[in-house]
Amino acid sequence: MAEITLKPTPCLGGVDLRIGAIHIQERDDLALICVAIPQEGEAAVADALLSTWDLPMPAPQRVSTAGERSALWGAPDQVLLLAPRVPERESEVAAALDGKGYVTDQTHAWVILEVSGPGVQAAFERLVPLDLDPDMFPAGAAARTALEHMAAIALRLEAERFLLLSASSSARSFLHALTTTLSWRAELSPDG
Amino acid sequence: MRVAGGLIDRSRTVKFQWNERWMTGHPGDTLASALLANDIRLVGRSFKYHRPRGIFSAGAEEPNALVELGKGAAREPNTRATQVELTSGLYATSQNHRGTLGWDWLALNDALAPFLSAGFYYKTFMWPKAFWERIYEPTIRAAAGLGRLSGAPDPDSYAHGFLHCDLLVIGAGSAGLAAALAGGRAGLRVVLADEDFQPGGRLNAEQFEVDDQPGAAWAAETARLLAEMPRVRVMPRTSVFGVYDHGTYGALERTIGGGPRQTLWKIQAKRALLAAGATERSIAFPQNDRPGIMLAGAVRTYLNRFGVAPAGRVAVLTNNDDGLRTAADLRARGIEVAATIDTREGGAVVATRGRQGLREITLASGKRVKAECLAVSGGWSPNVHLTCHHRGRPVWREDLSACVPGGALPPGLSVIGAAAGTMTLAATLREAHLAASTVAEALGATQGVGDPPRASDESAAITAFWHVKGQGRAWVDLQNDVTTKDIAQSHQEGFRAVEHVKRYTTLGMATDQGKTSNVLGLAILAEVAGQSIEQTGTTIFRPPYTPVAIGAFAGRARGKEFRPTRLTPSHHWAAENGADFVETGLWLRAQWFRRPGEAGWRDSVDREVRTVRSGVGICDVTTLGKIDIKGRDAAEFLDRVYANAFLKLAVGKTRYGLMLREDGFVYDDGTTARLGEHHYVMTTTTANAGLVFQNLEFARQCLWPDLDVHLVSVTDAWAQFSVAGPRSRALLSRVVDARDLSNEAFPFMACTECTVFGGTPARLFRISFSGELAYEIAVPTRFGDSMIRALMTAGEDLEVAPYGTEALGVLRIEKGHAAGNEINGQTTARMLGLGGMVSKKKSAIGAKLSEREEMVREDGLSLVGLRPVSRAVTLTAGAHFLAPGDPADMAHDQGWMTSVAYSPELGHSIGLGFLKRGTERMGETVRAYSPVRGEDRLVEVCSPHHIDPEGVRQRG
Repeated sequence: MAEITLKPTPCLGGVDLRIGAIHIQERDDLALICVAIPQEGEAAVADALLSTWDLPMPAPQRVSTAGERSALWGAPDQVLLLAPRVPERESEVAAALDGKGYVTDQTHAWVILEVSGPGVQAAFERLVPLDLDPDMFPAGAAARTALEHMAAIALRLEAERFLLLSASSSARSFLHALTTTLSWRAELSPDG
Repeated sequence: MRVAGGLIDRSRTVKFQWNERWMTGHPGDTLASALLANDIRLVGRSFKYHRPRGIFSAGAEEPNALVELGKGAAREPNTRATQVELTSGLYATSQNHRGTLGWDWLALNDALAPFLSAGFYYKTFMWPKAFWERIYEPTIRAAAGLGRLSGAPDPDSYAHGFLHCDLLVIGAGSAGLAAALAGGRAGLRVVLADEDFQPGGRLNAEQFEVDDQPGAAWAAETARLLAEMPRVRVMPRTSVFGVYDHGTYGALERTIGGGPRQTLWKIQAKRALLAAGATERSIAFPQNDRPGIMLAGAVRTYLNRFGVAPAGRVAVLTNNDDGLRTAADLRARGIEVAATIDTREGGAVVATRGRQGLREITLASGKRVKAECLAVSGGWSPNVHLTCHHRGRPVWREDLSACVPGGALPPGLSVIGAAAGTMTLAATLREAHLAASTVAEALGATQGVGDPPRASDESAAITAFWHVKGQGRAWVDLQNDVTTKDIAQSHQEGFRAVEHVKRYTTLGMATDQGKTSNVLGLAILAEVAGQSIEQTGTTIFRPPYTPVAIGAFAGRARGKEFRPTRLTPSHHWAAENGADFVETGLWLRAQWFRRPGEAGWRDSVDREVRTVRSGVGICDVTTLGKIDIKGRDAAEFLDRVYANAFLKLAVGKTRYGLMLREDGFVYDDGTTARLGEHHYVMTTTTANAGLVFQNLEFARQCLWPDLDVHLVSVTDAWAQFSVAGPRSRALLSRVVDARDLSNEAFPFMACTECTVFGGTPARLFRISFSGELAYEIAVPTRFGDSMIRALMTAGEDLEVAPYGTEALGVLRIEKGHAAGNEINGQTTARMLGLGGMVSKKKSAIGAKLSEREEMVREDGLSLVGLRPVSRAVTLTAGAHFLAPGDPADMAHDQGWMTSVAYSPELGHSIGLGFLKRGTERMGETVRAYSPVRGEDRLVEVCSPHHIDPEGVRQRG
């Protein structure tokens, strides 16, 4: 059946919309690779990340970035790597780690939305339980949380630019929660 | 009527409707002040006696002026007119009357009052017994009560929100403003919340001065300063209604103009200062509930803040100096003060007149005084409510004649100002400033807090006076119609503890939680009991401080947004192809695919089952939990969480696994495939995917932290399809790239990583739930939609067809596989015929407790198949088994039918069930008895494997 090839479909059809001053965009171009750190193996993983990509091991609730690659702290024994999506991403990471960490491709388990624009932090007050004060959650911070009963990761790229990650199966409910929140914000504060 | 002054904007007019009449007010008015300005005195009817009632207070404590706002679906009952901000077009109506507000025929209750005292219905409606539920109770419920719900879904939206701060200041009166200002100057993140739309609290209602300017002006200026501080958030229209654990406070914000109608905020605060002020209380004297009898402080509020005089002639009754200021403020506005009655000088009011509004009062001397308003002050009760939310119990302070916060306060919460019993202005401002400074220091703030605002202390001397004895009823709790007589009667009848009195009389149990009545009630009880108030004790409060609509608690979790919906990767394709969806947990799954010409679901399901048995069918099984398990000790880990052995599972092989709870009962099953030396993929049931993952994480982190094992949920990462039926190999041979799928190369229970359709990564498992030759194939989720379409195209000539969860169920019942119906939390491995799987050679979770005597009984239940003796009969699940001839009772119960289906292959109804000693009873006939459905069938016991008991097909 050589004539058939499979094509990936973005979880939300590549959604790209504006609500008030805020821009929502599906980031279907990113891969998310989970690296579990074996017991007593943190130094080896840290070395591999640093030597291969210049990526420092992220501190808890923080992201380290080098070029187009980022590393998120996921759990005490887990790092999540975020990088442009290419088919060989998982094997590239596995090769770089060479058995020093356990690699699992999580790209398809998550939907990633970039949410940006003036007032986005204020809009998130009615959605995100995290303390997003810039002192507590500056650019480069990331944390696991739950939004409207959906597990999520929030990552701050810039003062008014975030990535929100949640389960791909409930992506539509996730988008609905987000757009409702942003509509409220647009009504309450049309200028962001 | 309007008088000069006030904080309203007289340059603009606001039109609103009251009982279908258009009226006008001004921005800055409440509904209550606007009604008084329009000379409306009668605003509602009381709860029980339907007595005419007027506006009593000017705030959250209002017991009388409860109104319905809006109309149609948006109608909101029981709203306090004293807290409703007047907006253009506001539509308000009075509530709790039959007929008009002026002519309420249920006022008949008032004439019957001698028979309707506390506890009357416990004693009165005893006979005939059957009448209670059908007649008495419905009648009483219909007669008593407050506003009406619309009965239609609320058209408004409600949000939940999250705030975080260093310091939460609850209340924006003098104390709250001073504290927030000090905190803000220190650089703290401050949230200042107040239920009013205008910050200032009593400063807006009094003629005080702060920092050499009028108190209201200082409040407005301070609020403006605070709003300019970037780390301070001033939240008017926001009631902090509850104190929860770990510094979490619940607050309800009402929004006007756009956005959600209300937002329920969860405020996480490092420290909180309660600056909730105090509530004035009344004095019990005969007929003290007439419209026009108001709290003295409320009269000053209407006068000073809203520029409204409640009447042209006002009398004042007080037991304290604060009340005397009412007379002074009235005179300053040119309002006639008909009498000033100070109980400390022996004064009292012994009677009042005026059915729908006060006309006259009678003094202790017998003198009658004409007055349309009587301003009453029985002293002020600190608003201790929030300090009780962690069960703190207020303590009595004789010098204040009031309860102040007592016992252990919620951690991080301190109380300032009148709420703490600091009853004068200058002392309050100093205390608030100091408290905020202390917080700032404790939190390590480095900036200065500035100086405290300056003011002078007014006189607040009080001599307790509670009750004027005399003819006629004297109200204590206006909202629940509780009088002094009710409290005395409660005591007389033996309900003497304060908590008993509360429940017997309903004192303080109305929507106002007794804000104006509790302390007065305690005092009356103490008086009746001949003991001190301290000895009497007090009831305490729980959240919410003021009523919170259920809609606000629900937030947006309503209708189809009640919970998230999870869609399978083939959902859109399924919807295009006639699928009918069923909710399984959060998932929507296709339960069958209707085709033209099929009359009902059974036609579709029967066809789908036949397709799998004779050709090839495809089912989206993505919903099954998938857990990637990696680590050096992964095998050991699996061996401990599964009852059966897993240590020796080879790479490239899959094994069925049975999971026990710690108590030894079966709770989940599934397959685990070994894809690499340190890499396994576990599948769980759809229902237990979350639970199993959670339990495994617990085991990994807490039970055996020494094991090197790592879990990643990949349920959403892979689109997984079951490809089942005799032609499944033929189909997959076209799909999977360069792989020999012959039985020798890829036998039953094999697994592998591979690619499909020329390079897309995939995982292939040869496992079977249907009992046919079958596979499961997984591709990364985003390829799932493309995959189902490609499979259909590739299998077109094989007549491939999708099948849904119903067919899946029929197939597994035919095959005798247990599912949720069988594994219901009471099932042992032995009952499932899998007792031998619980390995005795190792230690696994639940294995030991599964050996308990009762769980290994020889005569225990075991899984069997059932078929009707008369083949035409349809079996139903839930029927119980009885030996023919035995009576149908629990003593003779022999088990029950768990699952039934129509088997297209066998051409009759089949079932699975648990039967006592079932495995020994093949061929026996038993009754399947269902009194619920009125069915009594004879069924034949057979193997649960209705088809292919030897498993030839799945291995073929």
